[in-house]
Amino acid sequence: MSGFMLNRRRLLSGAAMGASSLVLAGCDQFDFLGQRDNPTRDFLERANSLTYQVQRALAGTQSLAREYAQSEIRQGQRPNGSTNPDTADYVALAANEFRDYRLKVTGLVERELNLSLDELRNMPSRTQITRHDCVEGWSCIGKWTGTPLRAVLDQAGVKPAARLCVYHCYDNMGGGLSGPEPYYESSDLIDASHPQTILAYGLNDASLPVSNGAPVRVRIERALGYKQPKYLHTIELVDSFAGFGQGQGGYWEDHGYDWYGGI
Amino acid sequence: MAVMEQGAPMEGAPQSSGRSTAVGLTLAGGAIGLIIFILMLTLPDWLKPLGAVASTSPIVLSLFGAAIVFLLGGGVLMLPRLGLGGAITLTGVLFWLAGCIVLKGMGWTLGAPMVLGFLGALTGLIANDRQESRANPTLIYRQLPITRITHWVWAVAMFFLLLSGLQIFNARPNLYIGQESGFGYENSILDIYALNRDGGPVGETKILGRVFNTTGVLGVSGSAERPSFTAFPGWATIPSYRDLGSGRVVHFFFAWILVGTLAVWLINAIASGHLWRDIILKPRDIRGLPKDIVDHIRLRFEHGKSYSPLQKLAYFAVFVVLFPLIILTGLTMSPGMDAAWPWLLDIFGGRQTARTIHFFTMLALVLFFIVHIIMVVLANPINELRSMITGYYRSNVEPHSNGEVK
Repeated sequence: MSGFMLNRRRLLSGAAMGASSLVLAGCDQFDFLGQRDNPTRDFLERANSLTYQVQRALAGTQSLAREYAQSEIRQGQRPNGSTNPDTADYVALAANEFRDYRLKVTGLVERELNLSLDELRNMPSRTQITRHDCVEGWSCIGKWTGTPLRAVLDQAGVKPAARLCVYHCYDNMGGGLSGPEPYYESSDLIDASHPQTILAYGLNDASLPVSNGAPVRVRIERALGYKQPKYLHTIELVDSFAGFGQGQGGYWEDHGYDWYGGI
Repeated sequence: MAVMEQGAPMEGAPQSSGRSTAVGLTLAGGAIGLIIFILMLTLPDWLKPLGAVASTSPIVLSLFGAAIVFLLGGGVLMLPRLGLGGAITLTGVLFWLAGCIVLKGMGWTLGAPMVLGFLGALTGLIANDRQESRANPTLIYRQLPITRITHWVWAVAMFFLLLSGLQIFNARPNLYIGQESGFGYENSILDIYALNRDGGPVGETKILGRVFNTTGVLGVSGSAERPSFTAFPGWATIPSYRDLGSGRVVHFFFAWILVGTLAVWLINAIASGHLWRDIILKPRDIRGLPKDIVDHIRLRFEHGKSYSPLQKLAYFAVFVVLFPLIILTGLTMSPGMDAAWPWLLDIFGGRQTARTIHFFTMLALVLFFIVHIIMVVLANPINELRSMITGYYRSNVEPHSNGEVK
């Protein structure tokens, strides 16, 4: 490939053919756009902020994601990403069928919470049949049951300084040179307070399976799949996500994906 | 253009020197190409350092073969018909380039016929344009600045949208019909994948249940030593390696560029009457369609201030059908937009159907691009490029013979 690259440069200097050089350029001429610190890429990324603001303006805070009929559930929910976390804490919890599980709500709240699964299940619940849209392009319809995040946040009392929710998870991603990185995500308070945003503990009329994020996963129905963190253990109210992970607001955001995730 | 040369006297030193230069360069390019082609068939190893490698791929060989036919034929044709010969030579150059891309080879050896042919075609086309200018020196002002600017912005935006879009597609190289993707059942109409066979990895494309072997292009591409298992090959994606996140950054930036310029263009086109006058087909255009089709088949193009019925039809399809369709189906894939505008899911029959329509609309736009380039090459590229850069166009229609020419 590198030999081809040198030769292509020769060709480009030899024949100044606009259209054809564009075709050739598709090879790897624009690979610099894949570099996270490239200023041109930084500029292109600004379009994501525009998308976020325009979609918030068009969708408002309350518009709902499409909900489907029971008959439209035609298959199990396809698992993706981590499907069986191997962190020690999680393995221990799973071995005990999550009886020792505690969901912590911390950060900029009046009262920190430490909720067991039963406590979560005893709160008001919401069941919705929605479409899970993966960033890869596929979709899968499933029935999710859980506690509206709004109710949990109301119980904790969100301080006025809080702007974002950071969701911390049990599963590790990555590996390789960078080592394991804990999965985390974040959302604004509009998504966190949205009527369809639930802490799901049930899927298709059964307990949430491990492959889909047991015991609790966040559903943010107006966003893509990577904004639905599985294996949730802590919700942290913050005014900025700069201090978490690599500072981009989530595991996949740290790896070049947009934070909004609504398109 | 050659077919318009009836009234153009072909004489005088400048033209004939341009003509002989063009013919000489093109024929030299074709002859060198022929020699390289024969050497490629006989597989000599010493060609490798010069950039050419032996190839047994029928695609590569037919592309180079076609290139040689077009180069030699175009060169000879330039003697009686300068413009048509130049256009055919230019086509040969594009074939040669396509051959080099598929072969993934380029060097002085492989580049020589292309460069010579390109210079020959350019010389011939410029000479032809000067000759036509002498016969018909009047240039009409045809394209407003906003048309020219948006045209080139779209050209760049569509290029990046296409290549970043194929990157995004590669993350899930299937197309489905319906709200969701069938994993427990079948609703896929397109599937591109790689398989391990006895003879090595095989790329296959399944369309509506029928399987096609697409090794080398779809499913499996790259060299035998370093195969790449992506649906669309690396040379057709931005970035060239698998990077969905970066593909999305590029795609959404240029999607905004497309939407923004289209909005500016549309407001202007409605206000100035450009849309009604030049893009919307009228009953008269429909009536003129059969004659225009015959004219196009005979390569007799009328170069007036206004578009011919077929041109109107093509631009109508792009502006009124394809651009809106590709933007709206793109938005339907956004869960955020589906909440804002739930009707998107209803008019397209679900997110996955919308994704499928998005893909086929892309194919339609690529088809438009190919036809667009062929027509520019056939209809005097110098004149066409001049009108899209400076706005001035040399018309071959008498102003009083056509009511639409103002």
